[in-house]
Amino acid sequence: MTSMPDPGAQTTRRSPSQSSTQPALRLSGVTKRFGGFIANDSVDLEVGWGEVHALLGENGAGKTTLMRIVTGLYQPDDGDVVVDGTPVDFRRPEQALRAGIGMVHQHFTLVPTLTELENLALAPAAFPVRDGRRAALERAEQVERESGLRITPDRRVADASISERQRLEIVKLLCRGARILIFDEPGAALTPEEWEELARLMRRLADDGHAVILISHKMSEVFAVADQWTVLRGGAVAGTGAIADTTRERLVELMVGASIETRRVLEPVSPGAPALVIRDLTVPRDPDQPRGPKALDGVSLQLRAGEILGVAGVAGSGQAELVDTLLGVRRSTAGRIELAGKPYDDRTPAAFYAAGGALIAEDRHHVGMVGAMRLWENINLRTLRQRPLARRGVLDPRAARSRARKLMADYEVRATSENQPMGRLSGGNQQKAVLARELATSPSLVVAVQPVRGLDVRATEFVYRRLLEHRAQGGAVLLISMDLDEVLSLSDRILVLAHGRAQGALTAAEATRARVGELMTTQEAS
Amino acid sequence: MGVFDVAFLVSVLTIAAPVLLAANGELLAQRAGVMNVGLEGVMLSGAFCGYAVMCQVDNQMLGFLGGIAGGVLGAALMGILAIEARVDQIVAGIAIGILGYGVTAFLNQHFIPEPRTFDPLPRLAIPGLSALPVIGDVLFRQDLFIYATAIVVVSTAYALHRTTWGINLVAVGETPMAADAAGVSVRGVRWATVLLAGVAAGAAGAYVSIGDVGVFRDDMVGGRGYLAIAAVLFGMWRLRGVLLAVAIFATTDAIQLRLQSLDVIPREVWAVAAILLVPIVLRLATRADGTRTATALLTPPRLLVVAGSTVLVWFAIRPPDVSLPASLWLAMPYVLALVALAAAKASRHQAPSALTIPYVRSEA
Amino acid sequence: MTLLSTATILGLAQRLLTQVAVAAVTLLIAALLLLTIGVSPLDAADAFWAGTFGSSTNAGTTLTQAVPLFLVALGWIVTEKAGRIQVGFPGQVVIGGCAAAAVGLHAESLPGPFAVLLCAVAGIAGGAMWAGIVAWLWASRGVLEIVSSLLLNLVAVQVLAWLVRGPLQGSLDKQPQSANFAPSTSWPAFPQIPGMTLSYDVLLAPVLAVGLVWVLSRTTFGFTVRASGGNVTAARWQGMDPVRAGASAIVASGAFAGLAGAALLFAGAAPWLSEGFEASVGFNGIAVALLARNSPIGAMVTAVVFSSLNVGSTSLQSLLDVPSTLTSVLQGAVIVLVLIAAAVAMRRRRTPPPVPEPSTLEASPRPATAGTGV
Repeated sequence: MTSMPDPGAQTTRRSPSQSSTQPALRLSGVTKRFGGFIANDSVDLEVGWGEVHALLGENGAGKTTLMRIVTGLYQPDDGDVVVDGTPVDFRRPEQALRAGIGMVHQHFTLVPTLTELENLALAPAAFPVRDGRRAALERAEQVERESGLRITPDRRVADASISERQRLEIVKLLCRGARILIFDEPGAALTPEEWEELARLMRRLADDGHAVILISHKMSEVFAVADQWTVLRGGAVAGTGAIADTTRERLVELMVGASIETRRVLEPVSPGAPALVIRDLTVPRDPDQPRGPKALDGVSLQLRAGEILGVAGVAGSGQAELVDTLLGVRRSTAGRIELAGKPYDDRTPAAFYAAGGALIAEDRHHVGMVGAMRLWENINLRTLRQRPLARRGVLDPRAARSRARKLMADYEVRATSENQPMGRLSGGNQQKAVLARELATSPSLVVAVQPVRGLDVRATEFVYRRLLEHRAQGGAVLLISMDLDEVLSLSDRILVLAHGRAQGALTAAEATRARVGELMTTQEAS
Repeated sequence: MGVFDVAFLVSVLTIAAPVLLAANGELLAQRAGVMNVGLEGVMLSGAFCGYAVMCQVDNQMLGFLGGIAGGVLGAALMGILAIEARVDQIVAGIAIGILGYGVTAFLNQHFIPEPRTFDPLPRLAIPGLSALPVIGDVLFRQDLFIYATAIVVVSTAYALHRTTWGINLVAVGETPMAADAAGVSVRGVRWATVLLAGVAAGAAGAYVSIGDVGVFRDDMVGGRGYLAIAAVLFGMWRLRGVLLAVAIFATTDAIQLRLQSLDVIPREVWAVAAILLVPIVLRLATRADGTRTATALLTPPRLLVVAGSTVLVWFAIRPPDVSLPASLWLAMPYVLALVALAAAKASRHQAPSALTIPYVRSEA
Repeated sequence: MTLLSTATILGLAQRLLTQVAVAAVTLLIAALLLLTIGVSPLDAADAFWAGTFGSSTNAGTTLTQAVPLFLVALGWIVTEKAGRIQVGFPGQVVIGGCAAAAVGLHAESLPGPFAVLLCAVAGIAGGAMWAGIVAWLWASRGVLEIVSSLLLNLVAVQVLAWLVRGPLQGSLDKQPQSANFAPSTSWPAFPQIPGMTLSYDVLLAPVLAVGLVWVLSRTTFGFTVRASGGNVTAARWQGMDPVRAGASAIVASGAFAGLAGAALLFAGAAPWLSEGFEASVGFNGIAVALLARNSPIGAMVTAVVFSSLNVGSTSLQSLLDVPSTLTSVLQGAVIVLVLIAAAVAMRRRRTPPPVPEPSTLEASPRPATAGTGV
């Protein structure tokens, strides 16, 4: 199928153990612009064979763009990419793959309906009528001998766990002859044991002569496996060196610029009546299997008016299920919820809002807005269906528009007019509009999930300020976040979720990074 | 054998073959993520082109090649719209349906002023096998197209389940991002399957015009294209399911033809209807985890189906004195398909995840 | 009310330009086709004009025939706004027509206005009922509405074939058609037009167009429908019921199609039920809506364009011996052109490359939004 000359494939194949004197990957002066935005600014990076190189940086620091250049998804505007001494110019991802560069994405590139072996056999074939399964199985067995990674050939990927899928993804890359392996936040969805296993594997791959790039912003992961580090900030290299010669504090400082203020001073507010009480909430992971594994297992919490309760935990600890259950989108099998002192057992989104709830959803585009509808309609997405903006099913657009204009001013939403389609606004302005919609009705409970994800510094600061103002006015906030610093800096109390269980509630005074981090990774004794 | 004699079985095969071939091609395209609702138009294009070539050269081989070319033309338009321009596939399909009808009827009215009639494809008896009783007459005394369809279906089964190409194709329809990441060209695979579907639909159309009847009339495909699509959906995007669906459709159609000359529905018909309901009952009794229980049938809509099949069994034993109009028989396959879709609620989970969704790279 | 901004005007101008371009290319195709069959496009244009708007009689026919197309287009627009793809219009037109005919054949004794109204209501009920099957299958059984509506089209055709040979067959010879409807059940025609070709049902078009715009933009129902169509998940999470909105929209669109079926029978030239009375109105109505970019007001214009193609082709056939199927060719071509124009416009708008989203800490796989069947 693909027989055209291929600039990416010119590097000669070399088994990983024959290490070469050339570095595995060298980037020099790589620059990538998107319109006026510089995603990568003259980045230099050198990764040697046999090393684990940690690439660090905050969200939006340019890690993803850089790796997309290395894997052929983007072409750099400037600069050179050299793989094992040979300059390359990838136009398509296949070329990077053929040059031995493979990436384990956060979202696996696997076909769930196919078996593991079929996923390995997935490949452009010169003779498509041949069956690639046998050859794939042989390669998989060879990879197993070399790396100890075993797959279950006839299991459907849909039936495999997250870590099993990740393993298959790695085997897939190794089968295709990848010698430079990039792991994008590989620990995000893993249990601590699974992470340990992955860390050992990364070391083993490096010891066998592969080059491993680990993208992460978890210091514990980086210090556990990496030999070298490079920090990106604002698209440029902020520093690079050997792990042995640095400290966590130093890397954190490089990532975020000046030393961050770790704790903002919360004005004491005397907590009022309970706004949200959850008792022994149990939710199955798969709604179709109520007796299967649990996503939430007997979680209890109490949140009072005038309080921010932070919920910390690694991704996949049950946060999404907690929000779903609160909104009534997902059914619980046990447990009770009270909203503003009243039982809330017949749970639907409408009942949640009627009981004084509000939601700043994590996935704004998917859950929080209708991109094609106008800004004023989005700001009034709920109020427009009630009095006084609607009477007997008939809307009052004039009043709704003027309400939207007022809220736009209050919440600093910048748009050409209230008639602009919501989807055309910048992310920060969209989030401000969502905030306006959710906070303007003075709800008794605000559920905020990763409320600043993908926002710039100013918008982030704005969101924090508004949430704190809401607290000061006697509102309750349930802040669910995977960003520990966010939880630490905003919360009055902190609840840690791990493996679907509440692992303890700490007051702001008790909560330190170390203490919370320890609870987050508590081993499940089951 | 009463109603179900050899001639009946032969007519089932003749009715089934073009629908099966077209459905077979459409199955491939849909498994790769492209749904061509305008299959009817593509088949018409094949039917007309085959007929037009026949009018010129009077050679059935070339006629079929012309039909295939016509089908490929229609499919290529679908490819351009769905794969290149990434427009809404359903609307594009509707357009191709209308165009197929319009263009063929227009050309037929103007360029072929004198309708001609050709001999249908000759029947070839396979030496030895054709001497077998019943089976020999039904299966091994057929025309070339029916043999070819059988070969195509078998090779499709092989290609889907036993080749890298099949894996790639399923991946493209299920998780195009994964296929792309593996270096498989999503565009390439989709084009290939769409054009193959065009080849199949074109040949099937040509069979309808020059292979079976030997003439061309406006809109002569008469819903076979829609039937083929229905068969793919009814068959839950699996070749076995498609075969079953086409068998059901063709049988009901053949019965209908036969019943037009009868006053009362004979008991064999009730028996066949009851037998056809068995797979549906079995599917209803199958729980999500694959085990079969009778208790799963104890919900009102399912009980209805069970009750229906019981009545049919009873009618098979003591035929009632009623006749069903031919057109309602014709509607039966579609009603059955609807009942099956409604009964198997999980069906949509078996649809290729990327069906009708254009693929845009990046944003991984 | 804010003044129109330059951006809006530019947007409107661009839309208008694409419309004109599509029309021009369609005309070009028509001219080429005419040339290939040896007919001068100018002669054809003359004959076409004479047949469609050249006389008030013909203009009446053109406008009357535009009504069913327009009604189906409204049906498409409703489901489109709700984000559903329902293509069961042919079936709903047929069943609506059958229901109206069944009532109309027994309503001769009623006074005129009641009979007309009753037939229209029967058509609406029939179409809504037929679409209701689609809606129910989608909402409670998760069957894709495209699939079920396509299958129901085929069932409806057979139901019609049975009715005109069975229960509704007229007593005259053995033709597969019903008896003629009593004149009292037909829509009255404008007496000013010679030949009485223009029925009063054309008044439905502006009323329903404005009504639909109003419902969609000014009522909570319309708002819910649009929000559900724009983003099912967001609508659900905001406390709306997108399944109900989608199902209602499907039923409403069936009602429009059913009314179109009634209009075909009781405001047309042939006051009896026969096979093929639907005359591709169901699918062409979709094309009408697409050409109008799903605007109810615009659909009034495009429906007239489409019906003039139909009517004009008849006169082209009789005057210049041009095959009447030229219409279908052009109608298909128009849809293809509109699709391509939309795709080109979309790509033009997307030219600035997207700023990459920062890497995210995605939670465990979100549950599939059960019951919405996207």
